[in-house]
Amino acid sequence: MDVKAYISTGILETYVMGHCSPDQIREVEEFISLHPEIKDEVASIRLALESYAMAFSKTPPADLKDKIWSALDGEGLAHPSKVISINRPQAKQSNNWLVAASLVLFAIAASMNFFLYSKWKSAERKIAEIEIEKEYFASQLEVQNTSLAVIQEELAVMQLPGTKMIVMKGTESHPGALATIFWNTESKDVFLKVKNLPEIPQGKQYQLWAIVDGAPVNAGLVAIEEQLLQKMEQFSSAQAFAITLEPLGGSSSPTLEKMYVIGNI
Amino acid sequence: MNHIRGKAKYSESELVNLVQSGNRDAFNALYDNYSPALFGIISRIVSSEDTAQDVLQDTFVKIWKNIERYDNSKGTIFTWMLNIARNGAIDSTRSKHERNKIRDTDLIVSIPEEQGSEMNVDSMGIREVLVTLKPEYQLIINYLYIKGYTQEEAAGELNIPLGTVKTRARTAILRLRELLKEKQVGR
Repeated sequence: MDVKAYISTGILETYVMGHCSPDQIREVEEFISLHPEIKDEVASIRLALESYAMAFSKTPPADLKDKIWSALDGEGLAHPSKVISINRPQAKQSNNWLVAASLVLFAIAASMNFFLYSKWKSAERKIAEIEIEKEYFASQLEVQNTSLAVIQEELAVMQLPGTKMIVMKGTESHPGALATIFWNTESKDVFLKVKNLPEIPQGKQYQLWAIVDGAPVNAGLVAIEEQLLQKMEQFSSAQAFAITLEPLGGSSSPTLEKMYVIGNI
Repeated sequence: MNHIRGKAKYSESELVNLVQSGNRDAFNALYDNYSPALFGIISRIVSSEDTAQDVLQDTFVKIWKNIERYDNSKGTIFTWMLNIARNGAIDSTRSKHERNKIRDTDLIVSIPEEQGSEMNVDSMGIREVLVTLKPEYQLIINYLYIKGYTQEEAAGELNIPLGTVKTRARTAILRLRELLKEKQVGR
């Protein structure tokens, strides 16, 4: 089995975050026991996510620990042997008028409570409506911020001295496909921006190639979902860039009939 | 997580063994070590402070009751406890229709905000790292890991295809790992 390709499918992340089906869990756990590399990868993912979770730490109120112990003691869980007996005091004989008076008081209190409760309920409903609105605006802002970050990053790269922009257009069989290369010939950095590539079939992956002196050279695997620029392999010279569809994990030479976009320099 | 395990007087496996044998001190230590992290997560899922406290209490009652079932070959004690806490929190919001979506923006870590008293000292180092993790990456981890949305639910919330949810989650975690490695935090 190609361990690297398996890791690159993202199933291990899905497993650690708890979103695998029972079948997938069995599969992952089997591979963990067979391949130390997969085991280490899972441990690293888990450690990173645990660290991430720490960022939101908040100290609970000091009395909560005692409450937990009382809950456990109350259920008889902390001391299984201990039998808890409840003493029920004997009800005293009481005067009837006292009972009547307290019933009246109770009725008054109950109707007051009902009145206040309905007031409180309607206030609560209003708050809920306002919170839904707030949520909507917050999510809009989030979307805006993300697209702003995308544009800012692209601008920063494009403004570097020596950066060339190469538009890779769709080939005959994929006329709608589009991707752009930002290539800085001074730093040799190559950035890829995917504009439009078809959804990837199961078990496949896009791969970028640089054509250097007429021969294709691997320039890295493409993350199709990445909205931002992705950094690819460095090149000091190239005459063209192209993307092909390859088996998971990439190939050592391109499958030319599966070329999606190409751009000459 | 040196900042957690480093100050503990037991190693993680000793602690778990002691709790499994019914040792109260060990359970107290487990609570002291992990309750802030768990309370933080719960507080991000439910909206009221009272509910969050109830869920945390329930979580530790369940931990004590079920500690026998914890199997260290399937993951760390923290991940195991986090699942209990997260499920408890999600259940409480399902019963109360109060799943808290509002706090998505709170969850994004940005520079000077929220260094107030409620923040735990342990979380400072990691927050400094998260500041540099792109908001879209924080969001995807928040949905899938912190808030426990399914991949389908996260796709709906973020309005992106299901395939993108999966691959973006992987990219996000890879970036997170790189950042943690650079800063030597969380290991």
